[in-house]
This record gives sequence, structure tokens and C-alpha cells, in this order.
Amino acid sequence: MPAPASSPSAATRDLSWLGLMRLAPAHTAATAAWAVAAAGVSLLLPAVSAHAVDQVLTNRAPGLTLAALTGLLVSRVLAEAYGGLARVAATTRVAASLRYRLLRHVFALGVPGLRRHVAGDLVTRLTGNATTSASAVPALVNGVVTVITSLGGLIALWLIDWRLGAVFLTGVVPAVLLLRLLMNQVTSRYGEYLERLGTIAGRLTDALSGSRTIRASGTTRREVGRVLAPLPDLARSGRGIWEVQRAVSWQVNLVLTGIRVLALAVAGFGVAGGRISPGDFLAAALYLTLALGFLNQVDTLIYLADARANADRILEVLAEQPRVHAGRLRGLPAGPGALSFRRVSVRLCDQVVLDRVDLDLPAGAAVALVGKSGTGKTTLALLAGRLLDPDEGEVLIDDVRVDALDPARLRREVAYAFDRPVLLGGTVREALSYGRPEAAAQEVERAARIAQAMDFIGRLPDGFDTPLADAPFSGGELQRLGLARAVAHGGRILVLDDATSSLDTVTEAKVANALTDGLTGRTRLVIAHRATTAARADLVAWLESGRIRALASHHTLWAAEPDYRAVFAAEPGLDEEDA
Amino acid sequence: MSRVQVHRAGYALLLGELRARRRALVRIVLWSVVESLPSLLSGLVVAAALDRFLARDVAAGLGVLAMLLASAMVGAIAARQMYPWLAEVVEPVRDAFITAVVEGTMVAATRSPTRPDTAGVARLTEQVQSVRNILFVLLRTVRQVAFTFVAALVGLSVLAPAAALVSGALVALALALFALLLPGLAVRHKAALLAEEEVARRAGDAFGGIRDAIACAAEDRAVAEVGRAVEDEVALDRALARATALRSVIVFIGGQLPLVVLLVAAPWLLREGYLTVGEVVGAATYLTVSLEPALRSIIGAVGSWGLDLVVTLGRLGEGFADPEPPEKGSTPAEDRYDLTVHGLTFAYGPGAHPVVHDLDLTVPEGGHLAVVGPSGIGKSTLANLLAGLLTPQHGDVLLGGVDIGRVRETDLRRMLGLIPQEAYVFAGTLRENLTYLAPHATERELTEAATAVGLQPAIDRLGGFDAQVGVGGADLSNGEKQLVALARVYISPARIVILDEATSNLDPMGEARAEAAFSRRQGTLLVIAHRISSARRADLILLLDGDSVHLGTHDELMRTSVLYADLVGHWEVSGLASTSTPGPEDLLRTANI
Repeated sequence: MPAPASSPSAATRDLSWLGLMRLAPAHTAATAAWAVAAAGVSLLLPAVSAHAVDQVLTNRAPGLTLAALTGLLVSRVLAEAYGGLARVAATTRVAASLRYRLLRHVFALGVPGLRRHVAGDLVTRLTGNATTSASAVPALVNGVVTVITSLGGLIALWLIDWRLGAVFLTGVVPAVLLLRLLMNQVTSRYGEYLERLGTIAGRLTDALSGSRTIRASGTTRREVGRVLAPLPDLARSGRGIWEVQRAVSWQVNLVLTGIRVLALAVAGFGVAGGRISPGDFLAAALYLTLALGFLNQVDTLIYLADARANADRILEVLAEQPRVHAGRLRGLPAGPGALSFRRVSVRLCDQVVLDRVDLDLPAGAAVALVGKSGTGKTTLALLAGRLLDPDEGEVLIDDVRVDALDPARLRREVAYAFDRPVLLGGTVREALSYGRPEAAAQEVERAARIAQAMDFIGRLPDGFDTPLADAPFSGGELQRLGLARAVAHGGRILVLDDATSSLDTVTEAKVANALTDGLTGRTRLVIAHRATTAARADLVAWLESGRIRALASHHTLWAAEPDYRAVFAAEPGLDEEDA
Repeated sequence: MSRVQVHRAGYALLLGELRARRRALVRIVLWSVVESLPSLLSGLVVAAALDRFLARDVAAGLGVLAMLLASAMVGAIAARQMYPWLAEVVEPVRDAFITAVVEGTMVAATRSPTRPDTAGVARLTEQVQSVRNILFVLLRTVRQVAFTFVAALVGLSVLAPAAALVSGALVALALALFALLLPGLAVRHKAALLAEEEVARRAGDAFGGIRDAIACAAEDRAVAEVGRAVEDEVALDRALARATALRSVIVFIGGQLPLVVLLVAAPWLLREGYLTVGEVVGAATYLTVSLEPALRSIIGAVGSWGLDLVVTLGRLGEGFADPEPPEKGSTPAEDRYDLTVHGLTFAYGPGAHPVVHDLDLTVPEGGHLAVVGPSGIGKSTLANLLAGLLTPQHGDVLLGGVDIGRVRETDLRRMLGLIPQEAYVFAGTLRENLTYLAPHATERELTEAATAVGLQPAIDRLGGFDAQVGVGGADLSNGEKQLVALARVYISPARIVILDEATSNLDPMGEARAEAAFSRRQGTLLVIAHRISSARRADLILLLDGDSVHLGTHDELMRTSVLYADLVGHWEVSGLASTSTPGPEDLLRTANI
């Protein structure tokens, strides 16, 4: 699979009906073909049945006609069966295509895109919205074929006797108007119903988010009552829908029977006048049913409108442009790993987070990045691996601009350890080698040892091969695993974003020692909130109000600047920055 | 509940509700019989009318057709009368399911200490709605079709008994084949549903880990993981479709074969005088206009909607609440509220590292304790243990000398007030939110509490205690929500107040004011510190540092614990007092200066 493209083609964003059909052209065409075949047979059947009846009644041998009739019936069965298969094939293929596109696009949008979308909302778009949009494609095809079939039925009626056609048309117009009126009422009542249902769902979500308070207050019963308070209103809305459905049922059925009786009466006159044979009388009754078939498509129209809304929700995300443009340089020339930021500015939500920052990290050095919460430390760190792009300025690794490099190649060289890592992969081993699947077992174990994670991995039922789902980890264990993953990742630069905040003193000291001993030569950018962490570094970069206020050793700064000391009298473990 | 009970809970609820509405169901059946009158008569009428028209007796033919119209009107009236009874059955079933689902979710969420799954709420409401819709379709459409079917069969047997016999036999064969097909369909249907849920789960994992996947240059891997689940779902959906396609064959056997048989036998029937022309046409009408579409509808509906219902009922039933366990404690609380902890040990799993190990602690009445330590080390767990919301593996927590596990639940909840970091402000007035734990609080007490914790500016901004807040009401900042939660507990009769980082969204001054208010208030205060400044204000500080635990005043800890000094922002080049924990000297030696 190619890496996420820099800009989506127009085809990706075309989710009109035609665009959806183009996602599974062969299956959609097959659905249409089988539907047409079944419709064609349906249109022929009444005529052939009529012919057979007439032959029987006039004592002519009906053998051939009956054979034809049986043949038609069998073909219709086959057409319906294969049509059903084609329909499901089309739906599944369209849904799968939509899902792939959405997935790849969200990854292409990257970290900046996370700001706009909550994971849960994206999952709904991927599952529910994609399925509903996809199932509209065959529904549309079938709807069109049904309408054409109805037209065919009307023509056939006309062919039997023009009076039948005329009666049908005069009768059908009020039926359509009535149906339209009633359907509008159904949709508005249903909208109200769904809104009330949404209120209850909203209250439940609310209560769940406060579950700890409810638990501590012992008020579960009371809260259940509060969530269910709108239930009587919901029931009232529900009954309202039933009222309209009731009207639809008896009124529409009566009108349809009226049309039928009228048409049969006209046909009866035809039989009495010798214009229409008994067989044709039967055929008229059957064609009438076909011609009335288009009235069922009113439901389909509502369904299509709903599916349209669903497709639009997916389109919303696909229309966003990713900001990261891929460079093309395939390799970073060998180098010691010097990281430079030149006049880098970043603006988030109209606020200046970084303001023309100049910072040079010498190769192989461990540099601590300190500053009060919200000063942009994490933002600066994200620039190194192009998880974020600066609005102005450039970031260089060994004098090569990072945006000139192929992103995958760049990220091989920059490893990240986060304060709240998310582990991906099936087993612990896969999680640790996620960035480098080709890593040998010894390298993975060495990384785990450096990150002080061997003790608790050893205690897991299958050790490194334990599935992640079977092993809930504490905050400190999770951080150590994230650290091990970063160590195993390799590369010239290691960024630690508050990656030891959940560790106790002893473990943190061990980790610090192990990193210094085990990763000599790797440049390290360490975001720190504690004085001891800053003290261990070679240099400290002090970030204040979006600018580097000083770059010196911790010792020097501590002795000379009271403002510097004030930075560390800050909140431990607080992270107000938006990543 | 046992596995079988869980599996059956959904069906049990549905059947129970239906049983409770027997009268309505009987009425529905009776009206349905009347409603299907037109279907019963249709073939007969067509037969009779055609015969009359063939005999050129137009008037009689029209008269017969008029009878059909009349029967249609009767049917319409019957439908009109029946609908309220349908509503009477379906709506309460939906209500019962929503109640069960809400209870189940809430009880499950409040019984376990882990974060609840709010994404599941969307799924649940979809499923309950699905149950209602399916019942709606089954009761409206399938019922109508079923009665139409039976009526047509009756009509056919009146018109042409032989045809009815043949048709009936073939229909019975078709239904038998369908019954054999159903279990296989159900299995595949459930597999397809589970595959869809797997896609949702993997997509959730992938979207939650985008930052990490990109940092590891492994986006392709993450996408492929979800892609595999998508392909699995496609395969299972198509397998289901293949099994479903057999339905067409079954409909052919039961619906269309009889017509062929009739037409093949027609010459002989007519010759022998068993049937008139009209009767042949009438029988053909029954078969093609009524029976075949009805059979197709029933098989279609049961095969899809019916299976949907079965699978959804099963899934919903899994979320219903277990019956309430018997109350753990029954001892009424003492008047004293000092807290004593002996040898407290707690770990989340059998092999896991203990969060607290052999902890001894005494907090006298009116004391003020702060708990500090690195994030994620277990401070909230300790708060839960002290509040009796978690049971330790070893050791005990005594409230006024009584084991906290044995105190009566209602007394315990009244005496202990725990405020978590996520403040709970529900949709309602400010007054309702504030008097949540103290329904009889007076206006004066409310104002006093608001002023004490610093909520008064927010109240002035919103316009008084009767302002609507929460979902659908005025917007409150995170800090203001925390102030509401603080004021709520302030007014309550709680004697031991535990603030679990409950001031994290307030600025340092607001935090100091709130803590001071609780300190002044009669009772014990336990603060899980968010800012280290909370520790300075406390009488006693408990420092959690992995395996070691330090207890002392601010000055004592500054002298004895490197971590505490570090957390306070203190750092010495030399001269740290020796401690029992290894490492501090190592830290100094490895500092690269």
C-alpha cells in the first residue's frame, strides 16, 4: 500500500450517487442487469399466463406456452437469487471502499486532524455512516428499475385496453398526493421521536461521565430515574407515529382497492363486449399490481435522503486537506544527529505558541526543554519528526530540511516516547517493535531492559508474547513500554515528552542511567518538569512565552535566575498543552 | 447471572411484556381476521365477476365487484380500529427495553472503578430502536401478510378445493425447508454482526493511536490491521447472502409451482367440469396476487427481520443488570469519624505490582491530610480504598473503629464525600445540582457554601440559583463545574471529605480558597494533591513513591525525601541527608555538569 498521498484526487471526494456506484462498478452493473432481467420476466409473465389460460379455455394444446411459462418462472427465480447476491456484493464493496478511503485520509490528516475529530465520532462515520451510504446504491438501482417496470405495466394495461390505462392514471394521481401528504407527516413525527430518544441517550452519556461521583454518593437509583424522565414524552411521540401509520394504512389501502375495482369493472365491460379475453382479464389484474408497484418506492425516497446525509458525513472528513506535504528525498546522509530549529513559528487557534524559535541541539547531546505549562514544549518536540509542521521557519537534521525527506524515512530517524503512549499491535513484542518490525528479539529485550520494563514483562503469563488485551498496564508500566518502543525504534534522535512522569524516584533514576549508558551518541530532547531531570541533561533550553529565553546548563541557570527556579515550583504531572 | 440467563434475558423481557398484554394481542388477532376479509374474497369475487361478465350479465358483474369494494371498506375500518392496540403492545416493550438498558449500563458503570464505555451508549440506543422497528414491521406488515395468506388459502379452498390442496402441500414443503434453513442463517447473521463490531473496535484502537502510529512510521500497518477486519466482514456478509439466496428457491416451490401445476391440470379440470373458467382464473388470481407475494414477504421478513430481532435481543440482554447483591454492610455508623488504616495492601490483579503495600495511617477527626506523588502512582486508588469503594487484598480501613466494609451503605455514603476530578453537573437548575446531597438545605446555607468555595461570581453571572445548567442549559467552564461539585459536598452532611484532584481546573488562588473553606468546615479533609502547594497547607503529608511511603509534615519530608524536595521545586547540589532508598547519590553523580 502506498504511503498516504499528499493531496487527495478529485475522485476521492466524489461521493455523489455516481461516485458511490463507481466504487464498485462491476457489482453495481450486475445488480442493474439482474434487476432488469427480473423486471423483464415480470412484465412478460402476465401476458404469457393470459395466453396459457386462453389456450386452455379454447381447448388448444397449451404445452408450449406452459413450458414457456415455467421457463420464465425459473428464470425469474434465478434472476432474483443472483440479483440478491450482486446487491450484497455491491453494498459490501462500496462500504469497504469508503472505509479504506476514510481510514487512509484520517491518517493523512495526521496529528493536526486529531484536534478537530474525536475518535468515537470517526468510528461512527466509519461503521454506521459507511454502511448506510453503501446500501443506498442497490436501493437506488432497484428503485429505478421498479419505476421503469411500473411504467411497463402501465403500457401493457394500455395495450390490453386504452380505457384501462386511462382509469389507472386518473385513479393514481390522488393516491400519490395522499401518500406524499402522509409521508411528510411520518418524517416530521419520526424526527421528533428520534430527537427525544437522543435526549435520553445524551442524559445517559452525561451520567456515565459522572459515574464516579454517582458511585461515591450512592445515588444510582435516583440517577436512573433522572435519565428515564423523558420516557413518557418519547412514548407520546411514538404513539404519534402510530397515528400517522394508521392513517396511511387504511386510507391508502382503500384508495388502492378503489382503483383496482374500477379497473376490473372497466375490464369486465371489455369482457362483456368481447374486446377482452378471460386470459386478458387475468393479465389486467396482474399488470395492475405491477403498475401500482411504484408506490412502494416512496419509502425508498426517504431511505435515499437518509443515506445521502450519511454519505455527506463521510465527505466532510474527506474534504479536509492534509497539511503535511511529503518530501521526496529517500535517504538522510549519514550524520551524527544534530537537530536545528531556525526561526520556527507555530500558531494554533489564532494564538502564537512558538515565535521565531532558534535552537540548535548538538549531535549526541542530551538537551532538556523546560518551561511553564502551555509554553509550547510539546509543540516544539512534535516538529522534529514532522508530526506537526511549522507555519514559518525550518527544522533541520544534519543540515537537511526535514520537509525535504520522505516522511517514512524521516520518522525512522526520530523516535518518540510520550507521557501517555498508546500501544499498538497484538502482543507486547509487536507493540515494542511496532516502528521496526524487523527488529531482532535481542534488540527488543535490550530496549525493554533499558526502559526498566523487564521485571513486569517477566511476570506476564506469556512474557513478551502476551496479547496486549490480556494485560492491563498501570500508568508507570505503560510509560516504560512506550519508552522501550522508542529505544527499539532506533534512529539518531530520541524525543522524550514527559516520558517518565509516572515513574517513582528509584525507577526514574535507573531509566536515566540506562539511557545515558545505553544510548551514547543518540541526540536526546527531553521535556522535563522536574529539576533533577533538567540537572541530568547536558544543556537546558528554557522556553518562555514562545521564545527560547536561555540555553545553558541547569547549574548555571539555577544559580543565576530566580525565574528559572520558579518554573520548577510548578504543578507536577499537569499537562495543559494540546498535542 | 449464569451465561444461559444472560443470553435469555432479552427474550425473557420481550415475552414477559407480551404476556402482560394478552388482551391487546387478542384484540389485534380478532381485528386482523376482519381486516383480511378482502383477501379472502378477492379470488372468489374475481371468479364470480368474470363468470358474470362472460355471460354478458354486466350488472351482476358490477354488483359482485361492488361487494369487493364493500369488503375493502370493512377491512379499512378494521385496520383503523386495530392500530391503537398495536401501539399499546409495541411502545411499552420499547419502554421496558430502554429502562432495562439504562439500568444495566448505570449499575455496571457505578459498580466498577474503571472508566465506563460511553461509545457503547450509541450502540445501545441503536439496538433498542432496532427492536422497536422490528416489532413494528412484524406486527404491522408480517401480521397483515400472514392473515392475508391464510385468508387467501381459505378462499382458494372454498373456490377450488383441489387447487388449495396442492397449493397447501407445496407451501408446507416450502415452509419446512425454510425452517431447516433458518438455524444456519442465524449463525451466519450473528457472525456478520460480530465482524462489524470487530471493525468498530479495531477502528477505535487505530484512531486512538494515530499519533503513535505516525511517530513509528507505521501508518500502513495500523491501516492494514483495520483493513483485515473490513475484509473479514465483507466475506461474512457475502456468505450470509449466499445462504439467503436459497430463499428464492423456497418461494418458487411454495408460491410459483402451484400456479404451474394448476395451469397444467386446467384442461383436464375444465373438461371434467370440476372448475368453471371463472374459477380457474380466480384460483390463478389467488395464487399470483395473494399467495405468492404473501409467502415471499413472510419468508423475506422472517429471514431478515426475524433473525435481526433474535440476534439483537441476545446482544441487548447481555447488558442487563444483575440483580442487586445483598448489602455488604449492615452495621450502623458510629458517631466518631476518625480513619485508621492497618497494613493496607491492594493490587489490581493477581500478578500485578501492589499499588499500596502494608500501609499504616491514622487520620483523626478534623485532620487535614495531603497525598502527593508522581502521576499514575495510585493516589486515586488510595482515595477509593479510603472511601470504601474498593476492597483491599489485605489489611483494613476502620471508620470510627468499625471496618468500613461492614458499615451500612447509606450511612457510609452520607458520611463520606468524595469529589473526583471530573465534576458531575447534570441538566437541571443550579439549586438542584447544589442540593443533590442535601435536599433540605436552606437558602442561607446555599449562599454560604457558594461564597465559601468561590462559586458566587459564577452564580451572579448566571443570574441566581434557578439558572439552568448542564446539557441544554448555560455553559459552565471546567473550573466552575468543579466549584459546583465542591459547593455540593460542602453543604452535604459528609464528615470526611476526599478531594481527588478536585481543584485541578481552578487557578492556584481558587484552589487555596476552596481547600481553606473545607479545612474550616467541621470535619476531616483528605486532599489528593494536584499542585504541590496543597501539601504545604496540610497538617500531614503522605508521599507515595512506588514501594516506599513517607509520612510527615512538610519540613520533615523536605529533610528526608529527595523526591518530595524535587516535587516542591527544590534542588541541592550537595548535602542531602542520607535516606534509606538507594539512588539519590547516584543522581548527583550522573548529573552531567
